[in-house]
Amino acid sequence: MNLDFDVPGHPRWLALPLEGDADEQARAYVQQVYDPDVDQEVLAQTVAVVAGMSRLVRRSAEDGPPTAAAWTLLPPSGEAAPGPLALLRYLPLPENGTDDDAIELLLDPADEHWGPIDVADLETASGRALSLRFRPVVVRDGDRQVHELRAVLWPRPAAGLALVLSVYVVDLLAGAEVGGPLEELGASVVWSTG
Amino acid sequence: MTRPLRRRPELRPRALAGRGLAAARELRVAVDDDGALVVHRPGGRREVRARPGEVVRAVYVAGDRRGPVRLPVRTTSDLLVLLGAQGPVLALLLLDWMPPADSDAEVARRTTGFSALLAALGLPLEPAEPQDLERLRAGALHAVLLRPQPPLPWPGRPRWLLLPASLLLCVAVSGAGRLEAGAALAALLLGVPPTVAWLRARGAAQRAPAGPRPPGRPVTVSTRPTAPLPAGLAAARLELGPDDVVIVDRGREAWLPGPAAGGVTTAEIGTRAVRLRDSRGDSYARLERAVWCADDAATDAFTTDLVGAGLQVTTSPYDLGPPTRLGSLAEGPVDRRDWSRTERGDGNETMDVESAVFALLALLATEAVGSISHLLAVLVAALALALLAATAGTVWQRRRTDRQDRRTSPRATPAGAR
Repeated sequence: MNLDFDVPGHPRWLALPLEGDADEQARAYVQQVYDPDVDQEVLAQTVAVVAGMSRLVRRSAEDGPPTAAAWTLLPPSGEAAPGPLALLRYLPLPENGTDDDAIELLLDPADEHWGPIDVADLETASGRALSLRFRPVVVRDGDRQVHELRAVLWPRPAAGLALVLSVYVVDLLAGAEVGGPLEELGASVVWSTG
Repeated sequence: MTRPLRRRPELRPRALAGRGLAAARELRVAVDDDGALVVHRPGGRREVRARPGEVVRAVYVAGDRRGPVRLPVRTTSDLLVLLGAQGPVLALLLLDWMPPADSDAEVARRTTGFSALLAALGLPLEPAEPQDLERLRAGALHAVLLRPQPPLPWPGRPRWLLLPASLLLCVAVSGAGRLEAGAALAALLLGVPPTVAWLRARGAAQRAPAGPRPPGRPVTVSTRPTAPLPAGLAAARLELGPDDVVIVDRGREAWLPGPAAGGVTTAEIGTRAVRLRDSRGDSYARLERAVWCADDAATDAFTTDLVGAGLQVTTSPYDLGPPTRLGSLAEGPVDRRDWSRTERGDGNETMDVESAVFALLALLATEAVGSISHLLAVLVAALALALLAATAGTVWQRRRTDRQDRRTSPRATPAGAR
């Protein structure tokens, strides 16, 4: 299936290069958005982080759902490392699939979670979508942690798929920081299936 | 890879001085083994703020996103609010519990112990939602905000008492009749008790005793400079116990968690600073190397002391950043002039002038009081002189101690000799 999409630039999101040499592409991408006066050490670290994220996305796309695009959130000051990572992926949805079916592609409501699962309608350049917040409880090294999944979801059963723009963070404060920019990015995504 | 040591779920106050020393040494907010939220007060009093399971949410309010929430103190600090089913049970300002090293909020939440406290309560830290902010408006936090700083000495801000008292004394000095005498006596009744209370509080701050050493056979580490230092800084010391790493400098004390508490485990010696950090790499303090281990011999002796106290010592080719004010040569709020006014025991910043003016006016009013009784006039004069002398005495004492602290130590310690 061909997926055509277009995302206008967003001041807080840096697109990750998913093709070509990761280091060279990362340097080029970072230099496009970072102030040339920024400290060279910060710039070098940012390039390394962006290249590392690109490799990670490429590797995970080999085994997981197809990834159409990926971004990382730029820090407000330009002095800290970018993050977290947003992935635009598409998942198969049956032709009679409902919104709930689309949501369950991302999460199992029966899994232990913190607070309610928040779902709201979101108007986007590609029509109606769902904005989602889910806080799974995860046990790691004996510690009970609460993580957060934020997503913008376009269920399109007629096309047999759901497009998902999602971010996963391990800290609810980070989740709150990324929620607004993620919805803004989602609202600007224009996509169609060819 | 080695896992970082688990931090004990316990908050300790930031560095404090004078009337705040008891809190620095003993005030702790902790989660006990049963899961109860407990405040340990100076003097050994244990106060259960919430029984196990009673805290249901932990809400974080960033300093710049407080919205309608009003606090009884002006601050830009981030705020942690622990909520029970009926509302807030405890509120804490991040800055009140921070170790001396500057750090961003994410690191500070770990080094203060906020993260460990919440992990022990089994709660995630949630950003405050607009509905949380609405619930916390209308003074909901006034009763539950716990601050380690000492309260203002009784009866609080002095201006509202000394101003009318001084005005009454102005009436009293304008004549020598019974009306003026009555005004003078009313003024004394109004102004003397708070002035005496403030002077006593200030005296208590200045006489704060040398701290108890931390438990567990602590190791004392003295400064080891190669060049002369201000005398107060030269007398600074570290007290290193298994549970506590204490920095004592010119009347201030910072009680940091030691290695057994999952706090400071390592001293990293850089070219400019010695960074005290935990096993995760988070910084708690940066001591000035020129003060604590100025050359190779001093570094060897410093290392021996720290290793003997159970800390790891590493070296770094980097300067490790500017030293924090405590235990360093940096100019800044270290000496007694710059303690906060509650630590100093002052009702306000102009207390010296207000007390002195009040005492002088009381002295001038003795003539009016003499129209009632000569004996009373003598007593009033004696009281006024005593207040004047006590005010001058506390000012002189503070200046003398600061002068002594700033005076350059006559000789540098031979490196490594201690």
